[in-house]
Amino acid sequence: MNYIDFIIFIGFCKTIVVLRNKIQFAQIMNKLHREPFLPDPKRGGKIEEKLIKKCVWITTVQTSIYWLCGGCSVLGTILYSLFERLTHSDYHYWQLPYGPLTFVNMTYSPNFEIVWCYQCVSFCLVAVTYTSIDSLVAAILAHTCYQFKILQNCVRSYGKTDHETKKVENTTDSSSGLQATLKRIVDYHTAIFDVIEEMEAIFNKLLLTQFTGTLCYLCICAYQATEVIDAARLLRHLLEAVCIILQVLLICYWGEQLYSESEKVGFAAYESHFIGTKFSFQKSIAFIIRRSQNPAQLTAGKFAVVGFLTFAWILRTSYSAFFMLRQVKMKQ
Amino acid sequence: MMKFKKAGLVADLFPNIRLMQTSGHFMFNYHSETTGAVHGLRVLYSSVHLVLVMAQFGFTFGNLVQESDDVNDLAANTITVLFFTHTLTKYLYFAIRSKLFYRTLGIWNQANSHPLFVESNNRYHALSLKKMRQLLIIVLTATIFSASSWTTITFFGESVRVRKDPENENITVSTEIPRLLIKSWYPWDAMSGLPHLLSLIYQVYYVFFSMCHANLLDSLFCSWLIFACEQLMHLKEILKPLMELSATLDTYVPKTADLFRAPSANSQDNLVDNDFNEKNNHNDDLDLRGIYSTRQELGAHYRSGALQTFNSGGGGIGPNGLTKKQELMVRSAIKYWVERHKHVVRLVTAIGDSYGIALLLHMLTSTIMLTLLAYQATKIDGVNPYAFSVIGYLLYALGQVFHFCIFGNRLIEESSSVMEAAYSCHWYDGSEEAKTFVQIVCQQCQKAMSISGAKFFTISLDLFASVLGAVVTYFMVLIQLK
Repeated sequence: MNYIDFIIFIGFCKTIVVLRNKIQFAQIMNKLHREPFLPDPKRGGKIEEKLIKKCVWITTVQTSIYWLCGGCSVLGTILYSLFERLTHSDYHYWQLPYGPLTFVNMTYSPNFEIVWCYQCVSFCLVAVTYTSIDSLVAAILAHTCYQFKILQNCVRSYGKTDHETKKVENTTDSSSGLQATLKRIVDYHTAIFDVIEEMEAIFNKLLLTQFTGTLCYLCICAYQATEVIDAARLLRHLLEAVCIILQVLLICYWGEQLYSESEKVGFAAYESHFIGTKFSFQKSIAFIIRRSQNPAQLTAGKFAVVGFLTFAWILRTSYSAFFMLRQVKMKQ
Repeated sequence: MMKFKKAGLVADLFPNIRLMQTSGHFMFNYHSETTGAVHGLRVLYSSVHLVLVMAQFGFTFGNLVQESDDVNDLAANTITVLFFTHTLTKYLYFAIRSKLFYRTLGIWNQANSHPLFVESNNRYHALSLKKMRQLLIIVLTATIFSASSWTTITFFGESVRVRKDPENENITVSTEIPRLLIKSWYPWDAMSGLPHLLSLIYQVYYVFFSMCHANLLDSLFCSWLIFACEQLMHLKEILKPLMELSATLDTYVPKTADLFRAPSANSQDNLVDNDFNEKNNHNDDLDLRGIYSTRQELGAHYRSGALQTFNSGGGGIGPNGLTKKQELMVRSAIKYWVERHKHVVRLVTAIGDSYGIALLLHMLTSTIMLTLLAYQATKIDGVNPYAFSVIGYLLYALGQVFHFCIFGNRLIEESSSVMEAAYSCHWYDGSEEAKTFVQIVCQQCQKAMSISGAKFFTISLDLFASVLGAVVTYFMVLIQLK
C-alpha cells in the first residue's frame, strides 16, 4: 500500500459519508448560524463577540495552512512531472505524477499528455474534497469548543447581574430573572450537546475507518522506509507519514479540547454567584454541574474516544506492528 | 388442561422459545398440555438429543486422544472440541438453571401503565418486538449458512491423515480417513457404504443442532437486552411530557392538545377503564380514581387544550403552584416512571443472574480457542480448504462474541444516556416536585446498568476490542516465533 492508494481510499470514504449525510451536515452548519449560537451581548457581554472572532480566526488559519500544504504538495508533484516532460524528449524520463498506467502505451506524445491531464485534474479534485472535508469537521469542532467557552462565561455570571439589578430596583424577589437566565443556560447547554451528538452520528464510523487505516498505513510505511537506501525516498516516506499523522492529530486535538471545555462548564457553574439565591436555583446549579461531568466526546465507532490517548495508542501500536514485521523480515 | 396465556416477554419471544424447545433444550414450560404422558414424551425427546450430542462429543474427543501424537492434528482437534464445548456448556447450563430463565421470562408479566404514556409504551414495545424478530432471523440465517458451508467444505480437499514415516523421517505417509464433517473415532467402520452415509447424516444433524442450541440461547439473551433498551428509550421519551405536565401555571402553558392526544380521542375513556384499573397494581392513590372519574371534564379538555381550566375543577393551589388534581396527576406520572425504571433494573439484574455464568464459560472457552486459532492461522500457506476452515472458525467465534457485546454495549449506553435526556427535558419549568425527581433520577442513572460475566468482566464493545487485540497480538508473536 502506498501513500496515493491510502489517500484515495480515505478520500473515497469521506466523500461517501458526506454525500449520504449531506442534509444533516448542512443542517448542523446552519444551526451554528442561529440562536442560541450567535454572540449575544445581553447574555454574556462583549466577551462573546471576541470569542467568536477568535474562533473564526483560528479556523481560517487552520484551513489556510491545510490548503496551503495540500496545494503545495499536489502542485509540486505536477510541476515536477511537467518539468521532467518538458526538459527531456526521451520518453524514458517522462514520469506521470501519480504512478504509471500499464494498459496504455505512453511512450509517445498525445497519450502521455492526455493521461497526464487526467491525473492532474482527478488528483486535484481528490485533494480538494479530502482537505475540505477535514477542515470542515475540524472547524465545526472548533466552533463547538468556543460555544462551550461562551457558555462557561454565561454560567459564571449567573446570579451576578441579578444581584446588581436587585440593588438597583430595590426588589427582594428576583426569581423571574433568574428563572429566565436558567432556562437560557440549560437550553444553550442542551443545544451544544445536540450538535455534538449529530456530528458523532454522522462521523463516528468514518473516524474509525480513518484511525484503523492510519494504523495500517503507518506500519507499512515504516516497514517500506527501512528498505530504502536512497535519502530522497526516505525523506519522501517521512513526509508522507508526517502528513497522515498530522491529519489524525488535528481531529484528536479538537476532540480533546471539546472534552475539556465541556468539563469546564461545571467549574464555571461552581464559580457562579449562587449563594443567597433561592434554594431551587442552587439545586439547579447542582444539576448543571452534574451534567457537565459527562463531558461531550466524539468516538471512533464507539470503540475509542477521539483524543490524545487514542492518538498515542495509534502511534504505539503502529510502532510495535512495524517492529514485529521487521523481526519477521530479518529472520527470513 | 389449562390453556396457558402468553404474556409479557414469553409472548414476545415465543418463536425463539418454540425453536429452542424443538431443538431439544430442556424447556418444558409454556405448553398448553401439561399432562404426565406428554411431559414424559418431551423429557424423552430432549434426553435423546442430549445423548446424541454427548455421544458425538465423546467420539470427537476420542479422536483427539487417538491423534495426539502430531502437534498440528492435536491443535486442530482441540479447536473442534472447544467449538462444540460451547454447545454442551449451554445445553447443560440451561438444563441445570432453567428456573432462573423462567423467572426472567416471567418478570414482565405484570407491567404498570399510565393512561398518559400508553401510546409511547406501545410504540416502543412494537419496536422491540420487530428488532427481536429481525435478530432471530439473522441468527438463524447465519446458523444455516455456517452449517451448510461446513458440509460443503467437507467435500473439497483430500480427506487424509498425514504422518511421518517411522522408518524415514523425511518422508510423510498419508493414510485415508473417512470423509466426514468432523474427524471422529467411531466404534464402527465408517470408510464407505451405508455406515459412512449414516455417520455423515449423524454429523450433519450434530453440527446443525449444536449450532442451533448455542445460538438460540445467545439470541434469547440478546432479545432480553433489546427489550430492556427499548424500555429505557420509552422512559427517556416520556420525561419531557412529564415535565410539561407539571409546569406551573403562570410560567408555562404547554400544548396540552399534544400532551393528551390519543390515537382516537373517543377511546380515551376505554383506555382509562381497561388498562388503568386492570393492570395498575401499583396504584395506591385512590384519589386518582376521583380524578379520572371526572373524565368528562378531562374529556372536554382533551379537545380544548387549555390548561387553565383545571382550576375550575376545584381544590386550591398546592404548595408547588399547581392545583390539587394536577399535583396528584404529576405524582402519579412520576410514580409510573420510577416504578417502570425499577422494573427495568429488576429485569436487567435477573438477566445478569441467569446468564452471567454462561457468558463467563463462553469467554473462557473462546479465549483458549482463539489462541489456538491464531496459531493455526500462522500456518496458512494458500487458498485451500485449510485456510477457509481456519478463517471460518475465526469469524464464527468472533461473531459470537460480537453478538452479545454489541447488545451489552447498547444497554450501557442507553442507561447512561437517561441522565442526558433528563437534563434536556426543560426541567426548569417544572414544579419543585418534578425538579427534585429529575435530580434524583440523574443521581441514580450515574452508574450505567451493565451485564457482567459473573463479575469478572463487563459485556461491552471494550471486551470485544480486547479479544480482537489479543488475537492479533498472539498472531504477531507466534509469527515471530515460527
